[in-house]
Amino acid sequence: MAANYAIEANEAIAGIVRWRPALSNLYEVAFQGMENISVLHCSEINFPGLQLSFGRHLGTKKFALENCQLPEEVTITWREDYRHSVRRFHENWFALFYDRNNDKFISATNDTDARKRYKTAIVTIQDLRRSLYRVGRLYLIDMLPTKIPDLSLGWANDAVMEYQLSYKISDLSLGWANDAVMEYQLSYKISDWKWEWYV
Amino acid sequence: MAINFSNNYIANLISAGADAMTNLYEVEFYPPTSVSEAVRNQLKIRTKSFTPPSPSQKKYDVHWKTVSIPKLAPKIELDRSLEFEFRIDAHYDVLMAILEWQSISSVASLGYAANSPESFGKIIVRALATPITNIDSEGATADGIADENALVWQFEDVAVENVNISQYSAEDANPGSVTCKFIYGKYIDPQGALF
Repeated sequence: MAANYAIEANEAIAGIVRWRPALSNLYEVAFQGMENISVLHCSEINFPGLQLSFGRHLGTKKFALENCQLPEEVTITWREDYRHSVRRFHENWFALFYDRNNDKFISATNDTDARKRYKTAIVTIQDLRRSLYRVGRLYLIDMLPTKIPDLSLGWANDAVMEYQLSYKISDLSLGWANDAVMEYQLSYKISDWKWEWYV
Repeated sequence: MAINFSNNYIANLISAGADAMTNLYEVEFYPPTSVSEAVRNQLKIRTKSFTPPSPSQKKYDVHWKTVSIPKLAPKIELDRSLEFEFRIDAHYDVLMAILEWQSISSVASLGYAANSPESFGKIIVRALATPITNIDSEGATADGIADENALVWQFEDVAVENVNISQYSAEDANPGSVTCKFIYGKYIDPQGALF
């Protein structure tokens, strides 16, 4: 007779068959100002998680929190279209910060102009529970560009043009919309650093 | 009692009707509108065969100690291409029609290749999905198969990938044929038509 804590193979198989893993390819990215292009052409997105560093306290020998590394950069891989829409979008975005013709940085003179510099991306992730429409949404708030895409052309290259670009983000929020009855949202603000639960 | 069961099965077999037949199908080609109209009409011809798309869902294994369980991965594996073999006529009209369609996306001898949506046409395949009960039945005559009595595959955004003319040989006297490869984008099959 097996001990209580032992799981036999057939029980484990039944459990594994019912287990639903998270799936990394079922997502869309809608980028404020270019939703139509971003949904189709953000082929990959990488977002670092929160990181905590601990060190042993010299006196107590216990682990003490030394540092909290907040996520502040997101990397998106873009697939360029034949109009070079991604490049043109980023050039227009950069023009809000820097006047290349006159070699001048540009200051926003009012709130409206200042807000135009920030873009928000919404990453929609399917959770595949009975419905295509049960999703989680990650809001990458107030993104700032750090680079105009590199241009690489080659006669021997027949691959689709892709750019891997990084953006600074000032804030993020993550929400899971399960259905109308049971909905909760988890978000945290980097600025004031606290976790907030909405039930 | 066993005999009665057998009789029931035989009755079920008889009442199930005729089998579906593999030769009762039609293929229609709709080249893009930039292809001349006379050419477009010449492409409504019967092809030698049709292989329906056969998508499969990718699998992956989940291991636990000594066992592994296959699970379905969120990826559909489907080669979105079609291949048809045509008999070509003595005037080579069918061949030239397909070459005109292909020339929108590529003319190899001129070094021209593009991926413009203007090269996209449409292919519709209908397989008879009703029994032939008499000489007036659909499928028994030369009339086209109606959608309501057919399994329908409709391929859109179809472009010509390759045209392959059968080998010329002085040592035989076979009718000429051309094998044509198409790629497609969106498609509707009998399963998708359920939704």
